[in-house]
Amino acid sequence: MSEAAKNLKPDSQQTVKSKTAPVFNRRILIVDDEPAIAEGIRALLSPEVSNVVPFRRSSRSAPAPASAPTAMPNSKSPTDYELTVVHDPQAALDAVKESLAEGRPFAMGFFDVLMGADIDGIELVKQLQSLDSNLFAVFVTAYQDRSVDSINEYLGEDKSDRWDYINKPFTDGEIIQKARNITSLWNLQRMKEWHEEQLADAQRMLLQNERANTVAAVGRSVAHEFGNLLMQIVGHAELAVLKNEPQRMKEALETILKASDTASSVLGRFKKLAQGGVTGSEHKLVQILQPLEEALDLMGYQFKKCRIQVQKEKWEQILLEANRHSLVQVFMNVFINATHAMPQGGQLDLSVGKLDQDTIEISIRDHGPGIPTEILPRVTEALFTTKGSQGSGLGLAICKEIIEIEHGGEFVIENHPQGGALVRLRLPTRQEGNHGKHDEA
Amino acid sequence: MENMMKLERMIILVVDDDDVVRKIIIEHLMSFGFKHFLEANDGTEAFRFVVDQIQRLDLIISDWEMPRTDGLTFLRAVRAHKHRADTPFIMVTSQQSQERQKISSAKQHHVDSYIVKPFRGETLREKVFQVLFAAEERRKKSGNEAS
Repeated sequence: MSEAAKNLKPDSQQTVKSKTAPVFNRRILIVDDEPAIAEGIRALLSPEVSNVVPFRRSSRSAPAPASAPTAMPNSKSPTDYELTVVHDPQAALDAVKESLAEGRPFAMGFFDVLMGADIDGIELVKQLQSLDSNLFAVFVTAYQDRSVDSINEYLGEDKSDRWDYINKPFTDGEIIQKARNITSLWNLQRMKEWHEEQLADAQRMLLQNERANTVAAVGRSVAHEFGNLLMQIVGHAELAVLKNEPQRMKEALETILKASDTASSVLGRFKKLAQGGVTGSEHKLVQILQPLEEALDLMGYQFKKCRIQVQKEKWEQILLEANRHSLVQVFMNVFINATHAMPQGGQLDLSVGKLDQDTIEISIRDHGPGIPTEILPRVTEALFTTKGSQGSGLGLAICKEIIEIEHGGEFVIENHPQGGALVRLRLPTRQEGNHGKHDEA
Repeated sequence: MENMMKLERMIILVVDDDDVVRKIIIEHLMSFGFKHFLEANDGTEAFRFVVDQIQRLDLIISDWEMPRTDGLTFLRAVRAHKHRADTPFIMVTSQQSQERQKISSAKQHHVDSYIVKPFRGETLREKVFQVLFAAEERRKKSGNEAS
């Protein structure tokens, strides 16, 4: 989001984003060293005269009456401008600085070019736009020395859509219509930024929710594992006290210590997974087997319960730039799906290796019934699920997003020729500008 | 009431896929005075003892979460069995958060009692004798009605 858009909101100083739509901005700055001209522009735009048909010196068709109803987001007519008039560059700079500090930026300004000051209107606009890059400038000038191209070059290509000009003597209609068009444009751009921000927020939330779902699913398995571990600890302690034999006690204590160690390591892994959802989204150097082993550890108990044998066919350690937490999330999701595909137990084949110099390929194949061909193309679509209320339909969609958008890789699900579902992940070893053929991400 | 029952003759089927937990339950039961046990890893294995006509079976203590056939499926199979439907059944669960929902679905299938892991020997003793005593009462009552 741009600085000015942030400043639209009164709480812009805080990191918490406002969820309310931006208010329509009608602030216009008028800068002219000749008070009469500045006053003339002000009078044209001020509400008291807005009911007068502003059409005196132009032969062009009259603009719609200023009081005409509009489809703008609040009750005020967009022509009820808030006008600030200043007569020198320093006052203009101060006014813009103050507007930013208040979080109420100007949408646009009318600028005289020759002002008899150290700097002219064009230099002033350059300085103002460096403070507030969204500020739109209209030069009101009789001065013909500078071509449009030279002004454009001076202000910079990135600002080429943020200025316009009117020659003196101007018509009322020109001033009024420029003010209308440009304030509308400014507000539409802020609205667009606001919508984009809302969309990004919603996407972040969706991702966060799906992470929470994975954590909850693993949490249930961890709770069950903990129940058994505590049962071992409590049971052995109690039985040892009951029997009161030194050898028995020693054995019980050893079993208790072993169960406690397992419990701490389960808890540690679970904490890591749970934290992954809220911290760290940046890419770091990761050994590919690390997130895989982490996900396998977390699934260990579930695999044992469901009698799933993990078969590592190729198991190469490769360094890559990736978000470890996201990858654990992807592997967990794929493993959970495999467990659902094989409720009576079965084999899970894993393979990790280099596809080429810059790409890692990870294959995960279950020996379940595979995916019916008619739904195969849809399984990575958001909200598609075959699990009824049990599934959010987001698991594989998020996996695809993590692999393809976050990492510039490839996430493919297909049926293995010899049966079962096969998930193939391709990950580039380097990120940021080194995506190679995956640059589109 | 414990004295009234011939504990040393009774046969209890203990079902849990965790060997250590199964052994703990059996050791506790031994300390209460029981002597004969059947052990199974999951519902499928356990059900073989249930359908064995000559096998005496006085009580079933079964875990809920097990591979292949879970505790609830096993419970339903027992309750549907012609000769074994009345066998006292104690369900063991460990997931506290889903416990209420689980217990209510187990109750629908007439579980006699449930116990949440981890539990102490004393709790197990209470539940076991409560269930056995109630079964004894039911038998006496149906015996009286029959005569």
